[in-house]
Amino acid sequence: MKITKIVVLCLIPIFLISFGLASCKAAATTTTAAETTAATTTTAATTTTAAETTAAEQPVTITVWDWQAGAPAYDAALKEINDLYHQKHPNVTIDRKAYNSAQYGDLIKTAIQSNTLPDLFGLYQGSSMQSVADTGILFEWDDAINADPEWKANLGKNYGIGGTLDRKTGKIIATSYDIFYILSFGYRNVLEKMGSSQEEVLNLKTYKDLANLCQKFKKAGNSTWYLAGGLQQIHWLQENFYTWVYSVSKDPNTIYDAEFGKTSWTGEPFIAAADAIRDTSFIMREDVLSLNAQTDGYNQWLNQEAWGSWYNGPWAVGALLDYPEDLKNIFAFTKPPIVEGGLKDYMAADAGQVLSMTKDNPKKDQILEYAKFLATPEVSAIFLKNLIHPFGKFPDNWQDVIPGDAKDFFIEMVQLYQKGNIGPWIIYTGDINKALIDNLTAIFQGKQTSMEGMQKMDEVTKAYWESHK
Amino acid sequence: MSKNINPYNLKHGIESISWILPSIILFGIFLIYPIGFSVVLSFFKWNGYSKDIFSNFVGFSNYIYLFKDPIFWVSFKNTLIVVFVLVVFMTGIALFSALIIFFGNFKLNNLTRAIIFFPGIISQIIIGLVFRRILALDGGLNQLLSLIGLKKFAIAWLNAPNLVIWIVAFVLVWQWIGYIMIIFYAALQNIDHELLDAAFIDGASLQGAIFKIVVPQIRYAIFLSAVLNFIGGFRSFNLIWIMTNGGPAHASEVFTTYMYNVAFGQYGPSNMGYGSAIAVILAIIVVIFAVIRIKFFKEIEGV
Repeated sequence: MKITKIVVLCLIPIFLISFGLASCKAAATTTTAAETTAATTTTAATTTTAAETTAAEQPVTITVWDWQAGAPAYDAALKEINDLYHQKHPNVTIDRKAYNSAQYGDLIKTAIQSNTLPDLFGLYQGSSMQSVADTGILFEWDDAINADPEWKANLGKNYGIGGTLDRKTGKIIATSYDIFYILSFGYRNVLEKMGSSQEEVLNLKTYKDLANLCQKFKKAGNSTWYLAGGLQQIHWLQENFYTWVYSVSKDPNTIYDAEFGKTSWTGEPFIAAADAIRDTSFIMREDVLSLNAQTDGYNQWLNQEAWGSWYNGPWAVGALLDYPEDLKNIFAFTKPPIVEGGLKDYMAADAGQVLSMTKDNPKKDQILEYAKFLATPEVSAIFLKNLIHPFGKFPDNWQDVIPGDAKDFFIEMVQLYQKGNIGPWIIYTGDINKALIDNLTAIFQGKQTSMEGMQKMDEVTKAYWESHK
Repeated sequence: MSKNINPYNLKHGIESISWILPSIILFGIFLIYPIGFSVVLSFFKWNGYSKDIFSNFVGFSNYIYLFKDPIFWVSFKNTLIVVFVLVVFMTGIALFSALIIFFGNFKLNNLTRAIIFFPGIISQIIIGLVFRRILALDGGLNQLLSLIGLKKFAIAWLNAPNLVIWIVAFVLVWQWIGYIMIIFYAALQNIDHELLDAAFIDGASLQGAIFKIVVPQIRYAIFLSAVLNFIGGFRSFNLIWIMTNGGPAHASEVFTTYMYNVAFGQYGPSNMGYGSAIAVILAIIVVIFAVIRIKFFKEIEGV
């Protein structure tokens, strides 16, 4: 009885304190936001006039955060780019800090709450970009880009690409260093050992043909009959499902229509794609469920334990430099569509390392100038030199810029992107994304049918948007 | 009826409070406030980015969704497996080890105890990384199996959905068994040796003496360790997170990893309200058993 009293007496002040402090904080936040807006308006007006007269002389530091820690290619490229920018604009210094992607989400949350965001900051498209966009703090880039024909022309096909957009408003809320896209990689020599060839793979008409080819390898007793891959992380499922939906519907927006509740997940493209996910289990390793797509799957492929790999793109090429002999045997391909007559040459692609800024940033003009610089052929040449597929316009002699052993393969990959149909890669709503991954995993494991999984998706989507009206 | 305030008591009281005030303030800021905040947050939907934390009140819907969420139930089942292994196996093995050391009278008694206790002082991060390597497809365990001609049993142990939660639980046992064993060993030091000697003189077997004399005398230690293991099982996070991230496909997801994934995970939904609801349920379970423990010890002490 005594203990019960103590517990109750403890809980009452806990609730009172929490509600009290929370209310104070909420009120304070509103006031601060209002004050900030007012202050910003004044500051912006002052800055505009001041900028015209003193921008050239005033030393400015643009702080940039991204999540490319431990990526030597990015470090080298961005150091050269930022040094070059400083040479061209001696009063502007770019202070870049690269963070680990695992810690980055929490870092951004804390920075938003404490008003300590840098001038330009990456936002992970899958879990944070839309959430931050919903707060209304992000600058919309459309007007600035459209007002500058040279900048827009430099962005070309990548203007308004997935990963740079607020999916609710369709406005551009980020620019990017580079493009990420998914291509499958194959080994010519491994295929030839099994009596097949690169041509046979490239001529496969449907995903079913690809599965049959893998089954043929398996039945012949080959230990490398499968495609490498991994489900531990979500990319593999996302990428396949979205691009397969896209290959049936031929409309890259189909997936977003379902995400935003405009169409049912039980429609034909979704069921066909979910069935393909289910059937994928027959051509993957038994332990695929726990393999990490970005490490285990990739290592299997590098070790030639698999003739092909689902999940590779430009980011993987750097690692290939350690295998110069293999580079002669590697080819890139896009997966065949899952139905006959489906869209060919499709691939999931997104802006890679995106960069956003807040709409009230007083250094906006200088930041826009830097962002525009990032899309120039001069900068693209530096990215290409480091085997990064740039976001901006390629230089005319781009093939000459690419160095060493990986040159031919990198060019092959870029050309596939240039002619490819670009589809979505990442869903934007965290709860719906989680439900999709869980349901696709259960379909893959045979624990539920595609229709059951997609019906659950409809329920989750409906519930989500009802609670976010 | 008026009360006379004793100036000495008042001064003494103020002085006492001033001594403990810093602790109370820190306790309030770093424990009471976050707990209260989590409880309140569990009734809201908040993604961690919006500054307007309390704009989307959803009542009990986070709790209702929790009971409909299949992954929550997977994590619940896995948590119970961890708790079961810790309470039953670890308590049993630790008791057995303590009895062997106590009655065995080894020459290297102290060294044996130190070796068994040693994993308890190593960081869980290090243990997690080491075991992840040992249990990999090309890791130490499979190399050992190959050496003794059992290569056909070599698998990627942490990749096996049906085994992974048991493996992780047994690594937890390996780490904490020394700690529990020391509790039992200390309790064994206090048993009535005259009673034990008398039993042996009267012809009692070792087995009979253990079950009828020793175990009843150390029952409080056994109960204490069971409760500690129960609470520890529910709170397990670091080792599981390092070894598996709750995977593959949620096969080793427990309450704590699921809560982290939902609220903070790199690819998670960043649903702080739902994560808080899971945390509240976890806290309620742990508090219930903590209260039982406190009550139990008060009864022992005759308070």
